[in-house]
Amino acid sequence: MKLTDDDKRKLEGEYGTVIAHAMRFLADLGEAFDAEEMIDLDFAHVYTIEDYRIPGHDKTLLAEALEENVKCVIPATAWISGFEMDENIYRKISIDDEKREKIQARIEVSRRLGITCINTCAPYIMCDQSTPSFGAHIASIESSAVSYFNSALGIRCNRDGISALFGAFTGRYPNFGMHLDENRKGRHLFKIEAELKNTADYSAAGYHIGEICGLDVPVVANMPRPSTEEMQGFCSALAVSGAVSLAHIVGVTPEAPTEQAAFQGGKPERTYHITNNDLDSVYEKYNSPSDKVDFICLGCPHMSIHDIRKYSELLKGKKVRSNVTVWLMSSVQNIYLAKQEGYIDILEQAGVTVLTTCPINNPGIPGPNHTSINKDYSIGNFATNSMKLLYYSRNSFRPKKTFFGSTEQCIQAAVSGTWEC
Amino acid sequence: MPKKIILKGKAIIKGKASGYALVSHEPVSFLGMVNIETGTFDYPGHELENEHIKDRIIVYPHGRGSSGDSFRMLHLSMTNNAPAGILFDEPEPIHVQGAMLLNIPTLTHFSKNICDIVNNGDFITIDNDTVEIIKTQS
Repeated sequence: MKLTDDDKRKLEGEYGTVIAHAMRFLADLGEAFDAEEMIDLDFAHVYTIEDYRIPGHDKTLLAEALEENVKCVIPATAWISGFEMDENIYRKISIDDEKREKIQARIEVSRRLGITCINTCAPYIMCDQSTPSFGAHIASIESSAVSYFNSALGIRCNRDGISALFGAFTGRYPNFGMHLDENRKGRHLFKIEAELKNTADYSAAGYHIGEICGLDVPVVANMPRPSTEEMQGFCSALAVSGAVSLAHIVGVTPEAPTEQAAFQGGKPERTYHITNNDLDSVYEKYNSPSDKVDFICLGCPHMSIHDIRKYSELLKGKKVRSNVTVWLMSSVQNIYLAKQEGYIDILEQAGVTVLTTCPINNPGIPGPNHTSINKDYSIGNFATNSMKLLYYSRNSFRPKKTFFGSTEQCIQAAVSGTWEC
Repeated sequence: MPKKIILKGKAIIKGKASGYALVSHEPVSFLGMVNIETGTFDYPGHELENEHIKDRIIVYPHGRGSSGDSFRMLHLSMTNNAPAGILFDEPEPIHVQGAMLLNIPTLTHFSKNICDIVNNGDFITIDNDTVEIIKTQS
């Protein structure tokens, strides 16, 4: 791989052990994907991994980074899952003082490394200057954010892991995958013939298309322009059943004003017609017949400020049934704004908890103990409008029954205590 | 004499390893399919349900799902459940990074579809870019 003199200096340890290791990792990653060069990154959304050590070292990578005074050289954000703005929420989600101290310590470390803790899985809906623009090269964790960055915004991003943190430390990234024009070319055509009525429908369509595509780039035609929440549902599901980084939605994706543009003048390898039957098959697999509901979770991925407002309107003057737990999830920034706008008050009066925690990755789910500690634990009957959350709920919640449906169905079930098919 | 097959691939992570194959014909997501604490596939009805990952050579088309899978793969070594090696049909960046964090021999880009050649329980020896498969069933 072609490296600049500065890349070589980083690799050879002139900037310290951590930067050398980061550069080595990025170079090795590039070799695995036959990258020819490194490129500059504009932004990174990272995971500050606590327990990783450079092979053979006693101290953690982060401890060494602090010692060597490593600072991110590009704008970088992170999500420390488990952090809540409202002290009372920690009790509700069974996060004890010890766990809180660990969360706070990770936040402090991240800040010292020059990372802003935006605490969200949806960094793309931050309404500040950190989100780069069309054509930018970024590195990001969060499979759902990767597919959203590429598909909704035309921002170039691979499915990253620790490479996002190393990209933030070095400002560099191997030029492979979604960063290259030729890999952004559409492969298969999906004609939407199904009626997409709500977020769950978009999410089911994404799940179905992701399963067919695997690593390939789909081009989606005839899709009604999705709302932010619908787009989040679609993109996140693509990266659950599959490993899709980019879906060209004709008329929505910046690089796909036309089908022809999405295929870069080429032809689809295969054409699929997505019908109501395809969506029904997803619903049939994951939906149960009408029954009582115990836990409802919305906002996977984290919802926008507009959706918090929408939910506050849907729940205004209503009351969640006493034995039902309802969570809405969003970013620190959105929740802060929603408080100011009065949306949080309305939701809390209705009996809803609004939080930033990811219920998949966090032990603080309602109930006595996390599943991995207590094998008999079950959340009870669980409902959501997100295929991503539904699919992954099995490990974390051990739901007895799952319900998958529209936002309105979820809200109705919250109030009545019963899921109606 | 058990049948022996030798294949060449691209070594993403060079090294030597051997172990019994654990083959998933569908792309793998550790989140949702695998209990990291026990190192066991626990998705009901999956072809690998109740199979342990520890010391096996995992063979699958490619990774899918959450970006956290790369860290979950590292976590497998912390719970003493790490596989011995990985064979992919196609490299997917998150699972490639997981393999890099585990630092276990990992190959991809074989001349044939690896999931169709290896059966669960075949004995596999990896030597850099060469894979030797000893078939346990004919």
